[in-house]
Amino acid sequence: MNPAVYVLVAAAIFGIGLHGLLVARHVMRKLLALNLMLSALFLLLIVVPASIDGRPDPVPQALVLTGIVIAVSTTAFALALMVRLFRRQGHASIHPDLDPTLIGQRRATKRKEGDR
Amino acid sequence: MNVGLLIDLLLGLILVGLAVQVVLGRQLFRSIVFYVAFGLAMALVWARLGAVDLALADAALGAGLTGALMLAAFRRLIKLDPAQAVTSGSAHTALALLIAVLAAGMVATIGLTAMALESQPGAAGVAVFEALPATGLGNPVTGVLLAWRGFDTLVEMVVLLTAFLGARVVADEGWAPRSTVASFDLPLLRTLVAAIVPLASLIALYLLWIGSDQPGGAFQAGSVLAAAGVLLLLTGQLLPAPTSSAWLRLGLVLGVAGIGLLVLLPMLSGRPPLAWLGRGALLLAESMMMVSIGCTLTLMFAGAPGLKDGTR
Repeated sequence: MNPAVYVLVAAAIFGIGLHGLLVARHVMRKLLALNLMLSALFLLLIVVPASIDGRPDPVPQALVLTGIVIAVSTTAFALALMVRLFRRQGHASIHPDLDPTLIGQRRATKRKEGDR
Repeated sequence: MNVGLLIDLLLGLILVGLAVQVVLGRQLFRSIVFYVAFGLAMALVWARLGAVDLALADAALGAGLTGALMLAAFRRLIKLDPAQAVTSGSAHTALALLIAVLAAGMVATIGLTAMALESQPGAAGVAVFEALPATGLGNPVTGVLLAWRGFDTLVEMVVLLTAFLGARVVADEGWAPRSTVASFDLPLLRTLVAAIVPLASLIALYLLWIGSDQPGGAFQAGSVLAAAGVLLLLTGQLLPAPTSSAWLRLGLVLGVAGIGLLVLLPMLSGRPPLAWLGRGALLLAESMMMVSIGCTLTLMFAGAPGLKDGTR
């Protein structure tokens, strides 16, 4: 086992996940990207601590196990929120260009700036 | 180049490749499927790193149930509006790419720096291995989860319950008799389910029992139970129902009660229940947690407050 390889893999997955989170508009894509970032951090937490007498450190393992369960719970809750959002606005995307309330605000601020 | 490094590189390439597919996949459905594959590859990596408890949990929960929940939610969107459900533009910008690359560099730097640090003599992991024989447990992860960090596990069970209740509150669709399943009338299906569900229950009990000494435990066992529940829902043997029975409600809160008693009793008696009641106390608390986890995750998949028998 070569820990440095997995540290680099975790870093790559974190970056890929963050990119997905930033560019995606569909909430479910954002959730998938967030879950990727979580997996990357879990991997980092397990790989970094040195093994004790050849056995992996149990404390981060318990932490990550807790984290996996919490991740599933929060994902389920977020999916429920997404379905609600979809019912309310007719699509499940988050983006300033798509949110009518935000567009209204932007126009209002522009108008104020124009008045000055 | 030795074989070990080759395996590590191969697993790493698979993980990164699947992650790219999840993020860049054109169709949302494809991305979800790739995410499930990513979770399974992750389970392989955990096994490679010697964290078998995590491999079991990630295969069942991270890949299996998260994927099932996502597909169920995706299906709900498609039923509401097929055209809008799949449209997902993305705004690729150079700035996002730059931020992502910088973040990856940061994570790599933190990881490589932390790896270079020397481990301290009084580290928690070393203390766990020293104190483990006194508890009579063989699995250090179970020891950490239940004997030393019981409050973490208690709060974890509360989070699971809260997330379920929150999802129920947020779902404003009321309750409509959605046909979550096509009515399968295949002759082999019932036989298959009749064989798999008892087997899954047996595996869950085995994981629970062995969890004290070997990789396994309440979370792995509970997710296997939930997988059986999902299978029953998919085949129409169980159906979502507008109300939950008293038994189901009991099942939902049983886990919080079990782990709560396990960590709060020492405050009353002054002695840890492990020394007082022995491993029976752990097994009892763990079986209560297993039932709760199974019930909660099955209901989350059903997207309904309750379940009813679909065979009648």
